[in-house]
Amino acid sequence: MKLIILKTNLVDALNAVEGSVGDNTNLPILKNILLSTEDNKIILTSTNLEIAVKYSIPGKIVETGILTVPFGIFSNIAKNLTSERVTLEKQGKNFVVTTDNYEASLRSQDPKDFPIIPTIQNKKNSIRIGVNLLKGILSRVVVAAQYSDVRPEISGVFLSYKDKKLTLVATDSFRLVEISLNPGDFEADTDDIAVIIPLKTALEILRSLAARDGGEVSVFIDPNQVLFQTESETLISRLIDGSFPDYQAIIPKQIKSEATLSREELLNAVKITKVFAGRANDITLKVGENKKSLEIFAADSALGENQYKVPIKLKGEKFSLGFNWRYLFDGLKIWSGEEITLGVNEPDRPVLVRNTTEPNALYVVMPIKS
Amino acid sequence: MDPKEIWQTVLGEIELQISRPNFLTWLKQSELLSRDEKEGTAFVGLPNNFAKEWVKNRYHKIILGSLRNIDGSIKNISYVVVNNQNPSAAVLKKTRLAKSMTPQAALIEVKIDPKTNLNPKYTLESFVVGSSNELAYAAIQAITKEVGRKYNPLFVYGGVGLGKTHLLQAGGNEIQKNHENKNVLYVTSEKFINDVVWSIRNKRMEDMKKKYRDVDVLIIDDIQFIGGKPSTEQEFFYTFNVLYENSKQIIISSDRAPAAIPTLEERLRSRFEGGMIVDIGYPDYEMRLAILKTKVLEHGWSVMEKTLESVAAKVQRNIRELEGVLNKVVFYEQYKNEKIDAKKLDEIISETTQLAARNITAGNVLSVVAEFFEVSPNDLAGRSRKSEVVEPRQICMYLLRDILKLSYPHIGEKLGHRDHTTAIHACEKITRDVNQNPTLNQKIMLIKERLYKNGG
Repeated sequence: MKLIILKTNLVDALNAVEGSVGDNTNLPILKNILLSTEDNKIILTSTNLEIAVKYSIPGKIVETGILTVPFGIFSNIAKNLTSERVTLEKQGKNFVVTTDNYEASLRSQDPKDFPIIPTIQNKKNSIRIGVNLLKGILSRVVVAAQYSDVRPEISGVFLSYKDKKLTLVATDSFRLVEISLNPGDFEADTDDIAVIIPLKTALEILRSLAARDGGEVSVFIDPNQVLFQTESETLISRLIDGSFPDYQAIIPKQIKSEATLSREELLNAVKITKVFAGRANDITLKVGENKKSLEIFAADSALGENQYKVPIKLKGEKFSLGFNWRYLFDGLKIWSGEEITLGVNEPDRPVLVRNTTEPNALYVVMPIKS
Repeated sequence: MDPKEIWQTVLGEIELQISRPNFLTWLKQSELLSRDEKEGTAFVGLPNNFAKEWVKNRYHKIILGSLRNIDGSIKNISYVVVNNQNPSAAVLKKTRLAKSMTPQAALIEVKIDPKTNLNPKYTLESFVVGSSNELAYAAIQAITKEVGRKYNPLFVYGGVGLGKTHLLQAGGNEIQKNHENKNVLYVTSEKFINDVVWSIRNKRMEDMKKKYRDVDVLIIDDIQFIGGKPSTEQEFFYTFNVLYENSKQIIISSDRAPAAIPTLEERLRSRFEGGMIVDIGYPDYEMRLAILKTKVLEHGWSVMEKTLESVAAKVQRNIRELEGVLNKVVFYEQYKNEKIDAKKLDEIISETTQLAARNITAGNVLSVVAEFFEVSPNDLAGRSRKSEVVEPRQICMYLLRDILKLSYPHIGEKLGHRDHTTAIHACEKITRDVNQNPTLNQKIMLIKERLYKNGG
């Protein structure tokens, strides 16, 4: 095997596969990546047996072949090279990296020991969606996801396609994000879907798409795995087995009082007042006497107390609620619009945080029991 | 041989042929799910797609070879991903929510009514009534109409998984529905204990009093756990008195009668006994069948009538186990898309129920039966034909067959070198009588319960 690759392309490729390089002490080959040529393409593959990433690097194939190389050392070398072009070559059992002023020879393991990467044969259930759109939704949904040993079914992002609507949901049982897409925003050729993508996979997708601007992702789904495909990259992952909680029951259907206010100001108010929040991270939101302002208040017996007023428009009754400021903060940060609404019911019922410009998106958070 | 044993043998053979890391990574979590004898296919379950691809491509030959050594009828293997694993510990960073003192409530809890703690899924309509629980059901129904005046306190007791919680919660829900102004509160005794501890520690006894003495209906589940906890018992005693004097309804459940809770304080016991005490017994065959049918209807499953009948006939221990077996039957039917035959059903039942039977020996059975009937184990093996010995002896034979699956000659041997036909007769007689004679059924249940308790 002999390949010539631009250094920057090589580094991009290494960054893309890094997240799924294994760290399995049982099977040391997982710390290696597979370098191979397939159909005139140079392919880098890594896997930790939960996720696998295949990345195709632009470059010149002088001679085809296949080999494995320890990821850590190779990536260290590649990132510190100064030359523009790199030659990668297999010599006997060794893998040789050469530039005009540098040469390294790495021991390589038998590629036959490298795991076989599963694929989805039946490409029937597929969704095509813009890269930027998927990034935008996913990055906001994962905010509410949380690893949980106890409840694996919520340690991920729920993806459903039903009635021509694509919906992504995540919850850690204290708050929940739901974002839906209308039929025009994506292309679907699939039956109804309801799967849970592991949080780690979701984060890995975000990471590998981070450098990409524009273009499309195709998503293929079979009963226990999901495959994401862009022009140069394929990511396959298992799905979480289990059924996602019936979250619709949690979303408040009726609202007793609704406060409309500036997102920026409330965000700022939370940022400042939280300094005085106690161990429970608790801050209080209270509608003022005149119903025209919201008082954000936090106190700690050792530190002191503070209060911030934000003008609001209120429909319905006055309310006073405690929140964990982190949960409230997350719910404000993920929206982009200028105005948000807080939909409030009884103090022991979930609160609905919406963005006035995005009717298809919502954030639900549970207040703190007072 | 059952699939587990076969697979153990196969793995033992393969372990010698491949490297340890490979074995641990790819085959450690594998299992033999089942065999389709008609087509000669074995179904092998693997934890993920990587393992599936690898095993299929690299180890297929040696696995097939070892399987064929044991069962020559197997011609091919189908690999299936059994995705019941949680993400591996290595990948899962332990970023659990810090256990702060946050009084943050969870969203999911919202389904349970926060005021009453009742779960709306329990209703009186979905409670299957039969001879073993009709008294308890009638008492609860009477209470829902005349809260606090009819039977106060109502004490419901019965074994594990017989529907106490369902009945109590359904009663609470019904009262809530019929009388909107009544405050209902359902707690488990564990929650009650925690509340007592919390209020003592934080010097907030007033909160505790307010919470528990301001209700119209107090429902406490599994009261036996407060026995031996003096402060809790005392607090409960006062709460009880306050509610009782104001004719508020109290409903209590336990796994045994008040007199049989050894650590319970005398004054509490006499108070419990002053009200209405009803028990929930073990369901008979008809009722078990009715429960299965209700379940099937509830979930919209399609299961053959015959299968249900045999499940009801074979699973007798408790309702939860009954549901467990039913779930498995449905799983197998949908998963492999085939109707369950008698053999498969036995496999499923033994999988579910045998778990507990692992540590039981023939000696255990003999001694527990002897103890239960207050005869000596020697009498059981002796030649006496007195009726007080004959019944225990027959029950003993039945249990040896039913739980330990001993052969008839072996059973005869164990019980005083009797002929195997005697053992067959005894087993058949008890099997027949168990379904007709509730007292006998009850006895056998109690013996089994003791056995499992000692054995497990």
